[in-house]
Amino acid sequence: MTLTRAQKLIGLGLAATGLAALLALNVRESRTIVVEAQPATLQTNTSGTLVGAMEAPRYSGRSANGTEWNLTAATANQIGSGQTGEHIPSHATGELRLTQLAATFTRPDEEPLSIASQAATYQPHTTQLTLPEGTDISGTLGGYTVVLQAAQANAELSATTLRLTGGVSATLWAR
Amino acid sequence: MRPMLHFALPLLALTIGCITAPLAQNKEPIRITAEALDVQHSSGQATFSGNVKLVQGGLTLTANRLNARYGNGLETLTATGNVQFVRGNTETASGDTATYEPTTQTLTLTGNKVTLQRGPSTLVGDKLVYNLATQVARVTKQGGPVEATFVPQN
Repeated sequence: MTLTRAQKLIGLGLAATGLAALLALNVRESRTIVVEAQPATLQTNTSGTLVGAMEAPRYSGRSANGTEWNLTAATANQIGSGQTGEHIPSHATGELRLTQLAATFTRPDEEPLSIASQAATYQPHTTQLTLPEGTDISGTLGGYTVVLQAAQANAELSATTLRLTGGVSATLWAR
Repeated sequence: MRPMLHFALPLLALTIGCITAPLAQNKEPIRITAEALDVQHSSGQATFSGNVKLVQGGLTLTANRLNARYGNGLETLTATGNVQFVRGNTETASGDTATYEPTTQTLTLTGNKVTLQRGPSTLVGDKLVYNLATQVARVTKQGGPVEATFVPQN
């Protein structure tokens, strides 16, 4: 059976619409890309929990408005198997205990915001960074060198936000 | 008894000593305490909230909130709610909102009652514009006279 010209045009239109929908569904506003994170060791502890240890892990991503973020650490110890999925490698999920971490947020044509801390907990799947009480957070902000202290500190890397509560102390030096 | 002079003037320009050292030029560290801090880097904003206190050298700023907009450097600094500047023991300015723009070195204080006090002398209006480069402060009041009280010092 041959198709009329109108039927062919309708078919092409439906196909194009479907393709556009598929592309839209697969677009992620913010992707976490593991640049370097080779588990150095992976073992099951006495409780039956899978534990991994990584050296010099590095994560990066881009927020919806184009702000790039990077997270590096000296070491990362993974606890728990986390969730796995077709697009999520197992070592990118679960909770990580980081040491000597540094996170940088970079907007186009502007100085980056960077923060550093001796220790933190990181959830790669949600990009949530939690710093323990009493941790010194040092960084740069608007042309100033900044040292922050707070009872509670949390950062969401994909949203490029930082929140300190429970009493905040900040010292700034002009650079 | 010292005579007290009361003036009602629509506009008064007053040259006073520096009540606030220009933040852009003062190299002393800035110390800020508050209940919370929120940084939204995607929009270039950092907001201190709850009993905010900023100290730099002999200057102290207190307010309910302090918002900084930044990009390549500090763009504006805005303090809101019970804003008060104090320098040493002799100079005070207060209002509802204060905005500092580093590029023009201009501090603007607004509110229902903006007060500039140096020693026993006082200016009251609804807007204070202080040019930190020229050290000229201008107090105005829309729709009415500025209240000024001068106490000569022996």
